Amino acid sequence: MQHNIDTAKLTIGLITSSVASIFSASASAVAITDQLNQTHTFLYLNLPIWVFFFTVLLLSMLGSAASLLTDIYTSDMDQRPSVLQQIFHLAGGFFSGIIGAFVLLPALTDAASPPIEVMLMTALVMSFSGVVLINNLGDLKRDKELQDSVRKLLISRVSWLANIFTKGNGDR
Amino acid sequence: MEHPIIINFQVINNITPYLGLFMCAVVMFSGRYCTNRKSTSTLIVLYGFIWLGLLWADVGSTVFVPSRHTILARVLLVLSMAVLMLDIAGSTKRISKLKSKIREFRENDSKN
Repeated sequence: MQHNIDTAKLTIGLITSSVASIFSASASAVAITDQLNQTHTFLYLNLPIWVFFFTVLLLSMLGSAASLLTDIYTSDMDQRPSVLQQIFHLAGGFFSGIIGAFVLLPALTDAASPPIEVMLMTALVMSFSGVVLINNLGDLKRDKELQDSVRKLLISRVSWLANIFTKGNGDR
Repeated sequence: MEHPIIINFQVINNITPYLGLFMCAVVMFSGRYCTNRKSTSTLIVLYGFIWLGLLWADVGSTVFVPSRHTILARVLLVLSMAVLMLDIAGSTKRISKLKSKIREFRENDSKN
């Protein structure tokens, strides 16, 4: 009988704690919404912060889409990536823009709150650069000839440097 | 009455990253510069990262103070980028001339 009472007490305790955690989570969600509605001055306008975050997402899309206008994707050669690869590159560029603006920028700068215009520039540049780099690295991974030529080039440069140093030591 | 100095060292310091990013955009999007080669496009993108890093240093760093030396380095970086642009434009021009000559030779061959 005592066991049953203890179990019931434990169950009631668990239920109350879970209800409390749900309430605290919803309260923190409200707090986040309040914080996102804080206004920030930009170009003489007092705009809520969520507008800037949304603009970062939009510029990430724009930057990755703009890379489709470069010679890599507009050339009519055989090297042009397929549609599936292009979609993959665009998604990668979009995520690199978001990571650049929301992760790299706060991590690599000392400012507690990075300026909005730099966040926007970072999203634009990182998304564009991400697409180009992903395309180049993907081509390097697929193309065996390119890998061999890069490897040969690196080996020849390293051996050239080693020759210079060993000759220098020999002369002494 | 003293005239205000419009272009001072601070202005040059602030302008150079935006100028560099603009030059990168010109190379990547203009038809005069062929960026189909992997090395060229990678180089331009890396230059873009350099300019972005300098922009971060300007606005995001609490320790970076621009001096004449850093401004001189930035200007030299812009100059090196300008030389790179000339190089890419020159090679693009040469390759397009070669292509048109090859096309002419093929047309003459087909006529003969």
